[in-house]
Amino acid sequence: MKVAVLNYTGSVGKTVVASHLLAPRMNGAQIFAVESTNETGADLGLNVDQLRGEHFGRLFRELLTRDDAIVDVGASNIEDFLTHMMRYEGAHEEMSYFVLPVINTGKAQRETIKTVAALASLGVDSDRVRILFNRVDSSVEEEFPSILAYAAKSGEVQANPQAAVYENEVFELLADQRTTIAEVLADQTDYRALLRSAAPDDHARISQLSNRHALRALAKPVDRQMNAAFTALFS
Amino acid sequence: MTDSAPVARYRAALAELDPRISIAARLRALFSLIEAELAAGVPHAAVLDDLAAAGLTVQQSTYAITLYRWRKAQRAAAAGPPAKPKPPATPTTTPSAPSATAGTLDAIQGRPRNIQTPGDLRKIRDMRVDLEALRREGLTNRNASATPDSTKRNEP
Repeated sequence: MKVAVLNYTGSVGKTVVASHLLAPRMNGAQIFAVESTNETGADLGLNVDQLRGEHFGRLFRELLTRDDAIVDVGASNIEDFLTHMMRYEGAHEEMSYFVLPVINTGKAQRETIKTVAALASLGVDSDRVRILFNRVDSSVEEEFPSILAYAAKSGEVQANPQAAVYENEVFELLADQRTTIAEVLADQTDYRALLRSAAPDDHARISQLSNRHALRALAKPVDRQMNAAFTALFS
Repeated sequence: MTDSAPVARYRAALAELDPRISIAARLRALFSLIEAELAAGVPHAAVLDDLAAAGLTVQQSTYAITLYRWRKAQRAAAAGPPAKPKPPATPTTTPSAPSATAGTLDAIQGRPRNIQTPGDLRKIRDMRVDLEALRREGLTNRNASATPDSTKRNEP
């Protein structure tokens, strides 16, 4: 499966979605980051092939030879990416899905609808365009009614309210510690014991150990929730 | 090295908080201070730098969404308890037979019709999207159809 993660606007969690939701559930698929300015999975400590929008030809050739891949298209490169996709006949057919993460700010929702419209105008059929509701506070139906209404009316995109990642500080902690949920779950260190033996005035170490302990407590439920979101996203 | 005034204020406020609370909760506790900085013209990037210097490292996206939610809550609190629900803006004489696209067309203005060139594609960025109109329409349709299956997919 080959998935492009994109949105006209930045800061909707494209990189987190690519790195923490998709890659671990896609046979560790290679991430290609089409990004020249913002954070990519490489900044999160992952092995990422970084490209710019104008390197679409190279990306297109790479995709032809792979079974699984994730293309993380940064907001600063999406126009280049779509323009190049327009030039290569049938280029969009190389992608199995286009995943659009959205958060519940007005700007993000408006730009998501524009991204859907752009993909539809390029001939991408609605079944391959999927909304991923990101940083959900409590309810997709309450926080994203406009997106759901647009999806239902336009028929240009699949918006399943179950395809949701809930607000959780685990992603902040993962980025801060440059690690992944899989690594956290595999870590057997007894941080509670280490915390007990840490010098009381060593605030930096106590903070680091507390964060690692908190990470592990947060990681398991988040991992289960991400499994459910992944299944709903592509069902 | 001594902290700048905003860093010292953030640091003092953070010291008052329970260290077990989430990053977003810590951030929320600082927003009255942050808003004062923003009102004085301090850019968001500088606020993030000051927060990091005070010991609260926050990603730009977390900062943005937490600030958005905090401001929304402040506006809601300032507006007082919600008034009686407004009547729907669109006529609801025949909710069982809504127009297929009229509401969406009203909510989306300026969508280019025929995309032939990269220039046409870029014009999509200038589309005007009325989220409130979409929201109203979605609520009307939900109430009209009243299907229990909220996960039902849109059909092409």
